[in-house]
Amino acid sequence: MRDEPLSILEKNFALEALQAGIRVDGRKVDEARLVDFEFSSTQHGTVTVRLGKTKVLSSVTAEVVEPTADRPAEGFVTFSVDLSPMASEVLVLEYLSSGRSSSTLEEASEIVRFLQQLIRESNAIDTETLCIVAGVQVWAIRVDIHVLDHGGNVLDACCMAALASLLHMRRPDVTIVGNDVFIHSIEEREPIALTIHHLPISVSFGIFSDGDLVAVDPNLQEESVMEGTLSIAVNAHKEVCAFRKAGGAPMETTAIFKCASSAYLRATEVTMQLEKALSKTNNIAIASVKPLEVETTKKSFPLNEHIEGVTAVWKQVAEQQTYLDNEKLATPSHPGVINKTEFENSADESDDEAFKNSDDLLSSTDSDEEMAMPVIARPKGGKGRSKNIK
Amino acid sequence: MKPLAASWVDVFVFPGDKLFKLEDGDNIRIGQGVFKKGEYLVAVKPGYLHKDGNKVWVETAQKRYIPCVGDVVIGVIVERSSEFYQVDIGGFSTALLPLLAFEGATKRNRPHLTVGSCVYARVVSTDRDSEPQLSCLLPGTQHSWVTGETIFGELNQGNLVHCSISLCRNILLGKNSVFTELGKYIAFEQATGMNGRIWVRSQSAGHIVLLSNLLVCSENMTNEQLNAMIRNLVSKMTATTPTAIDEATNGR
Repeated sequence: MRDEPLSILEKNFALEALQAGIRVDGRKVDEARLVDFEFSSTQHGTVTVRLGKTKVLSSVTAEVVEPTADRPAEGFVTFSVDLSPMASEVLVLEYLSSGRSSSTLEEASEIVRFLQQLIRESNAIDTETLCIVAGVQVWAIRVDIHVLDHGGNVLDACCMAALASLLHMRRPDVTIVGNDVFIHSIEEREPIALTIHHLPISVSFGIFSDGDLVAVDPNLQEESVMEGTLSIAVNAHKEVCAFRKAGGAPMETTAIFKCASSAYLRATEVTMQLEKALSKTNNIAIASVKPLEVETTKKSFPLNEHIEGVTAVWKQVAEQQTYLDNEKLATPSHPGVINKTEFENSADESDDEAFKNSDDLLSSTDSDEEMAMPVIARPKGGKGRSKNIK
Repeated sequence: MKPLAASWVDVFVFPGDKLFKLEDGDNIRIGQGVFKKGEYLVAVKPGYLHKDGNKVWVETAQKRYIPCVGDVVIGVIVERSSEFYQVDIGGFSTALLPLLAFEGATKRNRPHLTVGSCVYARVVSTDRDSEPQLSCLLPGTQHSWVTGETIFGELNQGNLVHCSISLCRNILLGKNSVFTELGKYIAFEQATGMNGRIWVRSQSAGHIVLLSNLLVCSENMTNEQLNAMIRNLVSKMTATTPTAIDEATNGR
């Protein structure tokens, strides 16, 4: 899609629609776009993620390298984001003005930084399990992300793509005999999944008109009038793994907390979709910590999302005409807010289940079953080390 | 003009297909996707062949606009110089719109468009060695740009929808019934440019969003499906409007 420079008219309209409580593509203010994961059937660790019109391709490669001296028993996980000028005219203009090459673009390096925070620093991936021989050989995992179509909110799409491809990745099995390291080809031995402890899902919000308006998952037209973004990465345990607020627009603390709780709902929804898509692809049952039971807004991926959008807007238009303004003000607070005590109770329960699940899994990998499973366990619940390396 | 097959109209053709053999005294206008090679008309793009009177063209699902004299387009001002506006019309290069090419504009009294403004204009020249030229003049009209009654000129408010060129052509040809059907129920303004952009304006933001999204999804629907959907949406709308509810409650 070649998109032309946005006109003043479109920018004004995006803001006007938001102020009227509608989005330009027919969503509600607190409604995110549909996500679609498309895993490669031939290559492990390759996935295409669609978020509305945004399209991102991520692929993971593994390499054996020498570790650094200060951390001899840890592998590497690196990210690179390529915002190609093909994806958007906006980017082409940016390239021309900055005269830089694709991966050095400011936006790209910001995404890389966020990915590091999200996946490496939140300990989502265990770098210790990437060690083959301490101080001699470790695995270097490289995640290459290409933005194919820029339809707004590239950050979220990149984070989902990175996570999905890491989950889908299989690295070759390794055996150590004496001082020799044997790397088995994929045909020889079933390749091994990476150890991923939890799934942090990034949810971005656009901040408009001095922080008065906050809309989840802004599209390109809305991004052009956005004053700032707020990105919160949450996992299924309701832990905030990464937080980023860019653009400098002011925002109230209560609004941020509200965003965090709706980010959690969205993250749960995306996690479920990701697991479903992953299990469908390879028939690999991925074990995960069961997310808390929450209501999801979308059940399936409809063929034509625009039709959905149109019906939603039409309903909204009708509603607006029906209710008087003062009645609208009196509507109850955000339905997504979960009672605190209620949440803690259910969190405890899921914790116990998580431990059981992860224990089961570890024992099953011990007994060397032919099915390689990615282990997603709680970060605190014991080291989820792959037992194949001993 | 002799067709080279039993039926060459509304069939899918591939580049290189010989379409017609020209004969003496033929007066044919060839459109996009057709090329005259010797005494034959040959397709140069894959798509559906159309023939209307003496016009022949191949319809493709193309998004890049190729300027053509007489087309009406919607452009976005990218730059302003002392004599011209540079306008992005989605083509291979920007087009030129003279500062005074507005109805009733003089050196002292002319519209001042800023970078990012939208204009509805027509293409007046497409020389192969220069940028295409636009004009907002329409010979034979009396209106001045000041009154805002001219057909061409700056577009204010509303929303701009980006779509494929074939959708625009179908709307302009009357093959797509989205506007005619919706016009029976709600009031709106629209301007369709041949370069894959449609401008819409209506009474509220909700109406504009509805229009924009309907336009985008009308591309892959038949008129019957589209009309049914619009009627369905309208019935939902009228069922919940205040008047309907008032009547219902009064009735009880």
